[in-house]
Amino acid sequence: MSRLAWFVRAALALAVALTLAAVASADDATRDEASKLFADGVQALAQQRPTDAVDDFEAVADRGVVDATASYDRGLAYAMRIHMGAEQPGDLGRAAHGFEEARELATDDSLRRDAETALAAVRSEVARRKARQGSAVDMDQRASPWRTLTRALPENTWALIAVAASLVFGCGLFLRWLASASRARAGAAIAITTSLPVLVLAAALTRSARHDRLELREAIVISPSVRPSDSHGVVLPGGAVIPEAARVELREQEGAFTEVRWGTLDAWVPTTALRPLAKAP
Amino acid sequence: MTAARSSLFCWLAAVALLFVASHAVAAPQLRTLLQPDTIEVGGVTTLTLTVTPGDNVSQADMVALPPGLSLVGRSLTPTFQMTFINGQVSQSVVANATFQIRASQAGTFAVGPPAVQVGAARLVGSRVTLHVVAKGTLPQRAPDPFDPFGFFSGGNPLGQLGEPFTPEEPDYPTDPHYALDRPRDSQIFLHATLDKTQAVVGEQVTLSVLAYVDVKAADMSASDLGAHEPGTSEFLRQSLLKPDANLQRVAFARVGGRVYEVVLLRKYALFPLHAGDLEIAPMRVTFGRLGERASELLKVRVTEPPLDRRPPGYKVGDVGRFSITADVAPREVQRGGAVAVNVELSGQGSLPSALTVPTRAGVTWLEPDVKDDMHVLDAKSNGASDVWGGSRRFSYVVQPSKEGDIDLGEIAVPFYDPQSKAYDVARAVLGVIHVTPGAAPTAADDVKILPNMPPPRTAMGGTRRAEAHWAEGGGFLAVLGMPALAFMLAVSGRRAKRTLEQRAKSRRESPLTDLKQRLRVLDEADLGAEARAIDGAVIRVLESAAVAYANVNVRGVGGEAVVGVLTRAGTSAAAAGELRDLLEACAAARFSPEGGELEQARSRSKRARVLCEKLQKQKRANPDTSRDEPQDSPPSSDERPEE
Repeated sequence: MSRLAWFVRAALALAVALTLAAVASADDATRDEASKLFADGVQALAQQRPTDAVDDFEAVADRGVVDATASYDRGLAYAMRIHMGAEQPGDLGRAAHGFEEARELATDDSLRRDAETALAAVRSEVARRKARQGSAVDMDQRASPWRTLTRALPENTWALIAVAASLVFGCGLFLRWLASASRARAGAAIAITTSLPVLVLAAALTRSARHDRLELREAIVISPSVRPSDSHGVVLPGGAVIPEAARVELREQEGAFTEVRWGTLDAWVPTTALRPLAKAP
Repeated sequence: MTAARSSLFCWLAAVALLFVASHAVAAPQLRTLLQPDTIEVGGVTTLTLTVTPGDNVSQADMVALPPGLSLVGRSLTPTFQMTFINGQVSQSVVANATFQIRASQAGTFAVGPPAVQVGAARLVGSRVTLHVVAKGTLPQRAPDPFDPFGFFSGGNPLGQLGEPFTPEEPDYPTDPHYALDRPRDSQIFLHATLDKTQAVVGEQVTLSVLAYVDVKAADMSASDLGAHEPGTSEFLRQSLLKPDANLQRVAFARVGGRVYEVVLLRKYALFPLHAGDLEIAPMRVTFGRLGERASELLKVRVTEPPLDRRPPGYKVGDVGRFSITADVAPREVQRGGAVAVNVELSGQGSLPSALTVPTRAGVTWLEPDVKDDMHVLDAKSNGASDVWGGSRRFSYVVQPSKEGDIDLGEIAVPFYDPQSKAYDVARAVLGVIHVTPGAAPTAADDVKILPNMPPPRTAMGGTRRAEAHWAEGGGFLAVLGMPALAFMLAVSGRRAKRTLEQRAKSRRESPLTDLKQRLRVLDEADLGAEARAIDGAVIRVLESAAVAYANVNVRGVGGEAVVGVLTRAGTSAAAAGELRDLLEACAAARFSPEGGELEQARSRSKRARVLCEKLQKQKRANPDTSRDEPQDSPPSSDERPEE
């Protein structure tokens, strides 16, 4: 190897090492900065300075830190601002966004329960305001039965059920084939006929859960009133309104508008009226 | 440059008026222009009075001319204009009153003022001065760069009252800054420029739209000018030109070897509203018979300011250099009373239209009264030209609802300075107010909205991480299908095994296999010294050959019956006879008391092999003669061998 080639390789290796070190250092710096911002936000909450707390927790989110507690406290900061009479448009939606994110991401049951409680309070407030305006709205638009079933169990659980059903199905086939005793063959037949539908259903639900995990994007409406429109920008007839704090499924984005699904309603809304929910890092 | 040249060239007056019209108030504006202001004796000059808007102009006249001047022509021409601004169409009429004056003696004359009747009002223009010199005194006239088409030089775009236009290349002071490689269109074209093509959201980008006019262009009708503003829907736009400013010639420029007059049509400060590749649609202007001219489509790559060291509370778009001051009065107030908080935000850039006020328990901030003073900042004090900025004053009323000392906190406006590429925060501390007891009731906490929320958490963490998922890739499907696949493989293997065994068995039981086996036994017998063994083996070979090649079982059949069954089965009579002879000879030798001779037995063995080959050839030549099943031919009575 010539000296020049050796030098080039050494320089490349050094550059790669320095880059990796810089990336790691940047990640550490971001984490430290986020921790400090979080502490400031908690202090502001304790001192009943919700606007400062909102700024701090939003700064944590701006840095790409996905944290259930930070999301929960952010929701509380918005809720406190509303409670103190300093509400700004969209605060209810942003509070709901923090609580939804905390509920989705939390591993701590008590945090999840508190997030659900707070979320219910925020949505009740939205519904109360809508009712006062004379437009009753159902905040909980039910998901389709299939999606409800998919979300009933974790993806890995559906996968485990599918694998178990597959094993039972295979054993049943062998038993029916090899056994000579009539009782054993009858048992094998029962195993086959029961495990096959379970296998098909669990496999399909596993695939559906995987699709949701990889493809599904959801958001919270953070605008006090969103009038859904069609793909041409024409407001849908009937005065349909997607309320603030509603959870919608994101489907497609074009320019300043995003197609969403809310319950059975497919419509286009301004992208700025939506705040996407973070996924587990 | 003469006074005539220093005046704005008139052929673009309509464009100027178009620009002015977008900002102007409803009151008509007058403009008086004498072109040229120095003529020789016998020459003609034109006095023009332009009225904008000129909808209701009914007549024009002028004070009587002094001796030595005579009025040789007069006209009042309304010009209809359509203006398109951001999709809004506005229409206006500009009235031009022109007076053509011929001089008959030298001297300096006060001319005018001209006047027009607008509705019930009479509006009077300005008095102008005309210099008349002796004939032959003035040098030959070069084209006026402010009126290159001669459009306003006597009402005839081709010259003054029919005088031939003699083009001559003057020595224009061209500015290389405005030079272009080639013109974008003939005679006149538009050219748009940006001071930068990359910016952050909220950073000022300056757009200039220039008109390049060929100074030798000779024919131009400006009677129906229309303009379509540049499309800047993805920006906040502020004009950097004064609303009542006339169009300015900024330079002469050489483009493709020709000299062009460069006129600044528009200059805007643009503030990007979001990140992305943002487009600025072309500005379009229609120049009479020359048709429409359009500027370039421009793009600006806009990014968000960096996340690193971004201060809390920063709102994307707050870019520039801000400072903030605040005053609070009074500092002592009754509960439920009012405290005035005046905040002035000033600096460069597009100042935020709203401030985030501090939220404190027992303090209510009412909606502020906002007053703007935004303009183009002074270039000398600011250090740069064409910078948008100014101040914005927010006047709040604050109502305390609890007693005691209340710290109002501070108002902070974080901003990003694109010049230093760093964040900063403009702050104004509001201080403490003292609230004395008052009559206003205090709202109970539980009647406020969102009471009794769960407590906050003080430590980060407890976040679900992305799990390892089993259903990734094809492994999961393979695991799912494995048991069923194993079963199918087992079943298939077993079937394959059975099939193979059956095939092997059938091969073992076939006549040819039997014949081959018996031939091997014959080979072994040939090597021995037992003639009986050879003959016995020959008999078995022949019987097997009859089955294999003629499909006839000749075992137990003797004499002529053998020949009969073989020939019926398609075997030639010779071969059948040979087979019969060999069978009889072998049988005779085998069962003779002394046994056959060894050599003869081996000779029969050879004959038997030859016969086998012969039968094999016959079968190959005539395969249809064989049947599927060996024909057991119970010998008929006449064919039955003799006992």
